[in-house]
Amino acid sequence: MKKLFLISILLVASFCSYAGITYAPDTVQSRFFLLERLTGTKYMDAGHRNEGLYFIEEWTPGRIILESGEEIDNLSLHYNGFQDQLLWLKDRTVQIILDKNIVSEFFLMKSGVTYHFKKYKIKLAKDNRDTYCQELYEGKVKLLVIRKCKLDSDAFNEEMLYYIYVPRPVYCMLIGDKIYFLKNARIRSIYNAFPGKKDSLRQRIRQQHLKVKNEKDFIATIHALEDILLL
Amino acid sequence: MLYISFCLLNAFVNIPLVAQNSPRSAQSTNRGLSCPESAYVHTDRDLYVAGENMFFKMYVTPARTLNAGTTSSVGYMVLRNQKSNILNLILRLNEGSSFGCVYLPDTLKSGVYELVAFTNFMRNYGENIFFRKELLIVNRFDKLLDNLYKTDSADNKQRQRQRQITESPVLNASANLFKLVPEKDSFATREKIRIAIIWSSNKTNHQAVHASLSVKAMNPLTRIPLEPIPVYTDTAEAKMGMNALPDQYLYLAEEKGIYLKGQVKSIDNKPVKDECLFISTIDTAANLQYSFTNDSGNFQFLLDNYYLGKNIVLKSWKNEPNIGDNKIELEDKFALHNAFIPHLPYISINLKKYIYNSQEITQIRKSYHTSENTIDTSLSKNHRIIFPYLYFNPDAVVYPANFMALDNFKEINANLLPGSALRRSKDIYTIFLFDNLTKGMFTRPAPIFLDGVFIDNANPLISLNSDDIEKIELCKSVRVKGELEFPGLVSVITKKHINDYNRYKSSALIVRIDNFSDKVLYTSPAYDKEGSASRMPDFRQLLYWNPEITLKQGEKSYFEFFSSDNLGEYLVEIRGFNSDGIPVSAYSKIKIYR
Repeated sequence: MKKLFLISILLVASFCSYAGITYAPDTVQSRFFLLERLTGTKYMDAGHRNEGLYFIEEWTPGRIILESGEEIDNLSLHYNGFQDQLLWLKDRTVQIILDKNIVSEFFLMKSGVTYHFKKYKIKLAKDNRDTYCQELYEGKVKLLVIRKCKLDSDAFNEEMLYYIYVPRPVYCMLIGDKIYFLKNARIRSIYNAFPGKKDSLRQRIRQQHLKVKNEKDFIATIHALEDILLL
Repeated sequence: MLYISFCLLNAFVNIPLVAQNSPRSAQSTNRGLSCPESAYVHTDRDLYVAGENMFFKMYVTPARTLNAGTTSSVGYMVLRNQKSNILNLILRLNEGSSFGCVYLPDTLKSGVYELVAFTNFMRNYGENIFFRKELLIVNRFDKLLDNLYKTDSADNKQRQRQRQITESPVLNASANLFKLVPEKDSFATREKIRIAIIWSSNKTNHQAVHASLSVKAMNPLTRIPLEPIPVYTDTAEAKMGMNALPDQYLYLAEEKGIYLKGQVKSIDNKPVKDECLFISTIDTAANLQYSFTNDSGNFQFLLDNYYLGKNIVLKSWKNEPNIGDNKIELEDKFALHNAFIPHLPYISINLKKYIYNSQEITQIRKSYHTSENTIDTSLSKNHRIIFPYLYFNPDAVVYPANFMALDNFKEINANLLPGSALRRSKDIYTIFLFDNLTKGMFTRPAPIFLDGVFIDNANPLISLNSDDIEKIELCKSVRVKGELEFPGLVSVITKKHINDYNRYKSSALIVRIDNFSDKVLYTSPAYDKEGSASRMPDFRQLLYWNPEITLKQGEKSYFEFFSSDNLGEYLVEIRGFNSDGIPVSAYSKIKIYR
């Protein structure tokens, strides 16, 4: 297995050089060596089927930035929103819950779209703990979303061993060191988070005819309101 | 089939691929290629007195024939005499350069020494492409200078032969982009000196020049005009180098960090393949890096920065808890195979006078401790170090001191460690843990760490009692590190956890890993500020050294510093490279009078 893996990375290196890609002799090797930095616990499915547990249902190619700053790409990853865990599929068979302490950021790629998650210290419930947040907008104001999900108890069927999870995203804005939680991806939640700026926010929204129907609109709205939010 | 297709493709593209598993085949593809990197070191002077500091800047530039960026982030420098290496330095390259300072030991004998600089990747092409520079170092108390007169005809012949080899591939590619223009030709002692950079063309160019500037007392050995900076572009040197290449290794470009290489051999000196090796060091938590040997018994680690500057314990890990008799040999990157045949200088009366004068100046500077004032180490940043944890949240942590005192580890295990079984077979103790995931015992013994260091079996633990052990941590699920899967983990931290590496010596190799050299700047006294008029004698022969110069074409820049009480002619010399890796140099002369 190890040999096959090594041969495959060498084939990639051969192809890269043949294709005229700038010769970087260490890149492929360092990925091989950096895999060693990944630590975690082996995970086994309990046997039942989960729907909606992972941010993207199937294993997706991804990239990890470690706390050391080192980057490892081309990993099969899964993000479990229920337990806020990042899973790595090693050798196509072994599922590993990666230690949160070693991962600083990760990127999931699907259909040409990259989803960027970063670890933040966010106070959820009682404790101040590291949480993976997806970065929806990165300006002077950052719009983050914690991709939490909740087990839908109504849909639970003991015989079928079938679990359905429903998304319960938690939106928050990071301005400087301060975090503002938003109830949902709606304009009203922005007013509630910034009651002192409500009038100026409302004026801008009216001027620019901003409407929020989905998450994409919400991101555009935050971008349009950025200067007011920063005041 | 896959392997065959790989070989065919590899042969077709003919690039110096590097791999752990097939160093020989990969190495053969290197033949006839230029090295993509070239090293150069600019030193503050060429003649030193033992006991002085030598300031330097190392440049690693991409070869001009290959349109590739510099890949190495680690550089190596050796100062050696004919017999052995005197100083070995590891430099952290930032955008292809690094600088620093080395103290030349007081005890050095007078003689010609060689400064050698290279990167790990350059080693694939043989030592002939390494940067080499000869330095004359004289002992402070050596008035006879006997060593400098020794000459041997055999040495001369060998030297001539070596010269032919080393000098042939050098291309003199210095570009005269600018001039160094001093405010005036002569300056009084302790007067402010201003030197401007005048560009040959007024056109502004965004291309930056990274350079180092020295202003040093001229001596009879100083060559004017300056010797050009050597840049290797020809393929000839690669061919020559490959012939001298040791067969069993292949050297990776150290882009991400330092590679630690070695070989595992059996008692009968045969390479041991597929051996798993661990690196760990004494600390308050289990830590680990691993590597596997290839078919040739070779292994290499991309060393975690955490291990730099520490003693490491390097040993094999087998699933079976027997102590192997294999030998682990580490490669010495600083071992140079080409002999150093010094070019002895012609000792003229003027040179002798200069040397005697320098010896006296050094003696005075030593007496007044003024040399220490020229060093600024404030740039030596502590790089972020991440501890190579093997686990973060153990399933159980036991502090034996919190319980009734127990006499040995057998009792501790039986009474205090839940889900842990100590087993004995042929006088070797092992620990088996309960698997939280499968709800059964693991079938393989758990790896054990004593004070952070991996040990083969539980034998060293047996004699430990409650007073010896601070805590025991257990991981009772399959822990994964890269390719490895551990059937749980046991980590025992003792109360003393002293740096006693001898307890691991019997079954492991213990080596000290060198750290990166500090970045050191040169500082010179300023005589224009109130109260700064020092009564201390100032006979500096090095007036100025600035290794961190960035010039932009067309932009005005100048440098200011003060002259010393040492009279004579000084050489102002700037050397460096532009963004394309093209060497640039310029010089000028000034005089200091009373």
